Amino acid sequence: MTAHFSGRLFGPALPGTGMAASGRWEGDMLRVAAGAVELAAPAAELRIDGAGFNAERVRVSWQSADGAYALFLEQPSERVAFNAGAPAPVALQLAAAGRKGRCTEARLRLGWALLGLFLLLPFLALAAFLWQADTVATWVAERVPPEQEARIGELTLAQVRTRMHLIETGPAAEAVRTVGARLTAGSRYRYRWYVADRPEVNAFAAPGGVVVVFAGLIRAADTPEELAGVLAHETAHVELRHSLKGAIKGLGLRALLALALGDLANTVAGDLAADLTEMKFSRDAEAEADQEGLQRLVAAGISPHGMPAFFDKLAKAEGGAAPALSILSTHPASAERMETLRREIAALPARSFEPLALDWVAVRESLVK
Amino acid sequence: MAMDVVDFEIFGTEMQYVEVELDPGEAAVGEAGAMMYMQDGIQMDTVFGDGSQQGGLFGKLLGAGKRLLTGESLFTTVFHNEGDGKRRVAFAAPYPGKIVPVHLAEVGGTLICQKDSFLCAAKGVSLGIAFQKKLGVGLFGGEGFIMQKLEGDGWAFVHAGGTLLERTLQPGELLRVDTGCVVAFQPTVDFDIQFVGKVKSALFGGEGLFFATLSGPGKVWLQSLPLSRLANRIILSAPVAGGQSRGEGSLLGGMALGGLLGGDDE
Repeated sequence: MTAHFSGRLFGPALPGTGMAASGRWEGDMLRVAAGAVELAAPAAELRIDGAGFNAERVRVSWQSADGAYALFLEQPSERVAFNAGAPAPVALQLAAAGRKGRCTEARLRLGWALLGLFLLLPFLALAAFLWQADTVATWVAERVPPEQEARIGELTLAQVRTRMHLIETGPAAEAVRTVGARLTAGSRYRYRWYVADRPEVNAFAAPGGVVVVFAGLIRAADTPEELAGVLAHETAHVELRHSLKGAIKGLGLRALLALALGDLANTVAGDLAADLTEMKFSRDAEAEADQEGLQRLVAAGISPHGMPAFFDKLAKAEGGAAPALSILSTHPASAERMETLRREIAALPARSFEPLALDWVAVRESLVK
Repeated sequence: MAMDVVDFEIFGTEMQYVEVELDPGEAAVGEAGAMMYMQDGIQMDTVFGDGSQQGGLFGKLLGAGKRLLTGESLFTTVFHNEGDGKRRVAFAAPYPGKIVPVHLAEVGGTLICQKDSFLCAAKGVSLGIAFQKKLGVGLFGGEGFIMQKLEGDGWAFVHAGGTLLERTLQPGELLRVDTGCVVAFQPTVDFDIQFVGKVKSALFGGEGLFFATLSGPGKVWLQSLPLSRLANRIILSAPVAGGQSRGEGSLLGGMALGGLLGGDDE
């Protein structure tokens, strides 16, 4: 057990910059020789720790009669040689010294990781939001009480009133209210149905149960069942809180974009990013509203065939000269969606539906000017 | 790695330059732009990295990348003595201060120094980076996270601002230093920071929040005037603190409008 190890020795009788030294174990005594200097120290008096720049080196220090001495082991191989002959307590101290260096390193890594995380956080939040937008929006939407939703609906309604004339009496408004009431029996929302005196073929639903059907849409519908199809679809939007979720998503997205991109979020790139994601939201929502609307129609005992029939009509008219079909921009009527609807209707148990008892001709007549 | 043995002589007191004598076939590396003059027979060659890597392209790239991190130029200049007698090349310090000659073999082969302080060295000395792993020291120690590591066994010259203090610390001896004043130290020295002690001192004492502490054993080199401090004072008392640098040969440099109207600057 007389393996030699080399290091650098510092002490009273040595140059201030230290001296290359060689050491070995002799039982419990550490013997170190540097030039003409020869020293011996008992293992029990040695202190071993990590020291020097970044605590990278192992320092073996001891106190002798003429002052303090320190032997630095620089290379890992020297540490191994030192350890080989060392008594057990020394080996323990050496292991602890190694831990000190590792601890420094771990703290450094943690520091960098925290810094990186801090810088990346807005982007991570954005990614998480895009990935889980539906879950987040649903979670938030569930925490909005129906009264609040109703208030949002009122606000929307007030805005709509300033822009278009709403027909609240007459056969058309009656018809919409009657069909709507059947579709929304037992709902937690208090629905308000309006007919807007506008030629466009459109309909929309605001949170809290405000549904507005454009006169153009009623004129374009051949049967009351087709109107019921549209109403069921809009009702589904309300029940599934689509516009509320959409608003939450839009707000959240813009807030996170502002965090991640800073001033850039207000530029065209930011708008584009926000619009693109909002568009994607509505596609999924439409399919969901179709499903829910279909179920509502069936539950209310209204023939569901009117729904695909009406959307189909719109899709065909889209190619032609029908500039007023603005419903298509917010309700994209893809062939796929029609296909899905028809398949689902075909899968329903066969039953006969009573036609809606409405004087449809009178309803349409009342809107013609 | 065989080092070239060079003889040198330092001239001047506050604005120094070092003259290095090269035997035939010997070479020295200098920081780009540090050369002051060279005698006939010395060939100057610009190399990528620090000229000490024997490795392939990757090794050179790595060395150059490290140099970029320490704030030095990607290239170093190597000065070869191609003549048949002794030839001299001189390197000048970039700002008032002292040139510190360090014989690397004497300090154990490695020296940690402040980044940007390297001036020149015998060919074969490798210029690496010593990454400060203590978070607190990196943030508040005044030298940043990146320091320079000179390895080899020949002479290396680093530059210190103002007056130089060389101290050898005994084992366990502790020196508290103003952050920014550390130029170089042996790797056996523990470089750390210490809070100034009182909140009142930290806020109003003008010494900052932390001291740098150097604990022995080993040799440390301190500078009395870090360049940043000198620069601050100059900017503070400059009549036009625009910080424009005009070349010496600039046509309008001497008689720009500000100079003409500047009153007692003339």
